[in-house]
Amino acid sequence: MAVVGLAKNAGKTVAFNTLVRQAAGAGIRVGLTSLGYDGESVDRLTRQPKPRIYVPAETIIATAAATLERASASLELLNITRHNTALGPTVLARVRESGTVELAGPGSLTALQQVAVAMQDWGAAYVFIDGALDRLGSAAPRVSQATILATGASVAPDPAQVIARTRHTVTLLTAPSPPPMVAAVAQTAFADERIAYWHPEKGAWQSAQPSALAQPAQIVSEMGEASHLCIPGAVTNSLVQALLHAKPTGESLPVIVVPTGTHVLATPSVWHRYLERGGSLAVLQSTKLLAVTVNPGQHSHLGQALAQALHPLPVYDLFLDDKTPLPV
Amino acid sequence: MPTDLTQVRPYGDTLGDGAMQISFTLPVPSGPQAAEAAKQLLQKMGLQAVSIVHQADMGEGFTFFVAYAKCPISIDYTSVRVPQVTTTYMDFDTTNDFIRRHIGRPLVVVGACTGDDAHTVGLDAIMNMKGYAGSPGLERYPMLRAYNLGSQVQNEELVAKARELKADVILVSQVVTQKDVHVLNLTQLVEMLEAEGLRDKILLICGGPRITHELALELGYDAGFGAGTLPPQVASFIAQEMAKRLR
Repeated sequence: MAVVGLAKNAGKTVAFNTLVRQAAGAGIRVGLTSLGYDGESVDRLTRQPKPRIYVPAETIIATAAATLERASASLELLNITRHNTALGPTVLARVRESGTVELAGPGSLTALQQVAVAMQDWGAAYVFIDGALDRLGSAAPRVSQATILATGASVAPDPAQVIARTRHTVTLLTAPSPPPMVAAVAQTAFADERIAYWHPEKGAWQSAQPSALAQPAQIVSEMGEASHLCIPGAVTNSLVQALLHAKPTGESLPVIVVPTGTHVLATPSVWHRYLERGGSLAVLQSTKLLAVTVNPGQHSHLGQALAQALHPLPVYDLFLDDKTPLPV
Repeated sequence: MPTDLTQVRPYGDTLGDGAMQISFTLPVPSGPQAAEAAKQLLQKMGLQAVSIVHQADMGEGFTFFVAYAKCPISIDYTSVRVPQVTTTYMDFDTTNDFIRRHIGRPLVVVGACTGDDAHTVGLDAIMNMKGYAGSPGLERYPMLRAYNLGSQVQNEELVAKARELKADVILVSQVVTQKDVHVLNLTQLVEMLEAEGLRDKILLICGGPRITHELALELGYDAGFGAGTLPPQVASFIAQEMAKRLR
């Protein structure tokens, strides 16, 4: 299970610690790692105090070797993985006596997924992956089976923007699947690392390009009248803007098909224009989003407003209640 | 007298006297009231024997101060832990030889200052042929094929170029400030490489005056080099890490 956030101080580590505490209360042994670096006492950028990560005995952790000596928990080294970081190889350890740990997982999502599986092999019934900054990659279904999204006042200056940004990310992660015929076309193209196009009458055709980066004009000209545009890589502002530019108002925009919602890196304002003009997104694998947590900061009504905006997705304010979602 | 490393204090005239020089700016007009405000601020910080030894009018109601004070606290140096890079330092010839023997081909390194960042000093110091402080830059290494894309390169262009050149290594230089913009630019690059399926094929390194290995790991990079880094440190890390990965 991945905890991801929309910004710093959105409450990722608070949500992560809640999961750890509740699992311990239920007698479940968990494995813990991080997409970034967590558990340090002071934030590396803002110098503000951060929540520590307290782990009960029998927990399995995966972290860079050099972070082990900063743990107050007593640890037993289980395994040194082949994944390397600047702070030494990612190692697996078992907590012998409870205490705090610092967690710095491997750098790539593939390695993170492999390390999560390794922790399950060592007896973890569940693996929790803490997030880093605004990175959403660990929410991809190839890494995690379920995701919790942390949002809050630190995401944007005013509550309406926080809600809009949160809704944007929720919509991307939980986008619908394309029709089966298009999904089959996309799967084949993605396996070949090629962009593909689909039209209800003309069928499918592939591009020679593996990526839409830095060549949106070529994609637009190859696309023609296609109803679906299947992109194996990143969907950025320049591609979305090129599509908006190529199709004057009134002409229909293609459905963009990507492997998962984490492939859409266009900014919310540009993406919103695409949706407003009738464009849409389909994903081969959508993220199972279990809940949203909110750190409302000074905006006392943010939690309730989010709960209403995202209904039926449960929204929790963990400082108020870590068992019951906010009422709608 | 040997220093007691469990109680280290700032040093001025005598060991352990706690003497510090502090400089800062307040948004108030220069004058006696400004000096007193500056003094009280430092006292509130817990500093002792505060004296404002210099103030200068910065114009527009701002004043710059230099103060001396005594620091009443100490730090236990023996308990300070900084994770160190686990690769060993190699010089120019050793690194080239190492790549030749363990990898057998030149490694492709693409460097850029990304986003709106126009501060190329750091990247140039590491990459340029002439190098920095007597150490030749990565462009001089026969076993590194180094491409310096320059400043204000968008993440999208950098990733496209890395794909085109089949890069082994990406070096990103950023002046990370407390404002989020630079950090978000660095995390976006990671997300873009993941989405493009390139993250596992590339050794991803960031550099800049405020960057540490720990911050790099938090951002999703494999390593991060800070102020004072010399080209051979980056080159030896690249050589050893790539040899491990290609093994």
